[in-house]
Amino acid sequence: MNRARTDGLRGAELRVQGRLEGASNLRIDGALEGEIDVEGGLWIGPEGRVVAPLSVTRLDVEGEVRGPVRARAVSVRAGGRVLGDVMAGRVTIEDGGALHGGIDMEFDLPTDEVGR
Amino acid sequence: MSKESLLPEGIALAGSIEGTGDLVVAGAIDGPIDLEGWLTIEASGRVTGDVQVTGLIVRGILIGQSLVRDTLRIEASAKVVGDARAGRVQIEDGARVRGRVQMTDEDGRAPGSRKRRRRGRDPEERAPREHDREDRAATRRARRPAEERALREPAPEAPGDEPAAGRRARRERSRPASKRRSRQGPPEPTIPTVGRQRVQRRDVDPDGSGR
Repeated sequence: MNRARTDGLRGAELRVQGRLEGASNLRIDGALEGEIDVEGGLWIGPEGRVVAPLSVTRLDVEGEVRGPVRARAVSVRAGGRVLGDVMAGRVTIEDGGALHGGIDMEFDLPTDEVGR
Repeated sequence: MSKESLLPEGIALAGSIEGTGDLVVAGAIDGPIDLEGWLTIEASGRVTGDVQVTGLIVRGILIGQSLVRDTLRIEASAKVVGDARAGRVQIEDGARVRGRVQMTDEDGRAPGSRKRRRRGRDPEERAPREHDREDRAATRRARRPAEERALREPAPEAPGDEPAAGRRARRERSRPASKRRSRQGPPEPTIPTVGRQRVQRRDVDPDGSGR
């Protein structure tokens, strides 16, 4: 799965500024500042530094993300850092990963435990 | 780690990219690109914006000016709108190009951008020192203001196609009025302190008053 994600903005020497949108998987290994609204998986490599509100289908973070995140699933890998609120259906933080911010997952509590 | 980046098909960036490394664009970029490296615009790719790179390969669409330090290759499937300046230029049969193409000399300067400005000067003066460059620029400006301005300004599209008469007319327009007249014939006589006015000839009676 990691192998398949070869599409992306690589190289820590590359700086991108602006709004990224569309439908595709994407890998970022450089620096991006702006906004990302992509239908597809976004992989932020160990050298990736993203400062942007993110709206993606799936997010994997090995580098650093600053900004609010909206995704169906978020995975913070070992060494990865997310600074911002995360709104997602599923969130995983691996050992060594860090998340500073709130997590907002939508789910229902069993009605009998909550009571009326 | 590979230094080549790919903006995949289906992704659009509205913004700028700069830095070191090669970039392949299969998606769309609307904004300037400034790379220490090669840019490849794939057949599915589209770049709208000015491009400054080491090398450039276009298979898709490029709309904007490009300044290429090394080689510009416009392949058969490409469509390019905008002026291009490159050390070496290759254009394949089938490529559509609208814009000027300039090949730069060894200094990376476009032909005519600087040499023409220096024409007729002593060889010793060809390498100005930092401290007197400003003085010299000022003298140049004073001497040929219109011509200098025309050189500094970006030339209009395809000046080569323009008929010579149109070129001359524009040059005339950009010259100061006093110089313009000298080209079209002897200057009209002027009376100092009163300003320019027609000198009446005594042997002709313009209004027939018979004075």
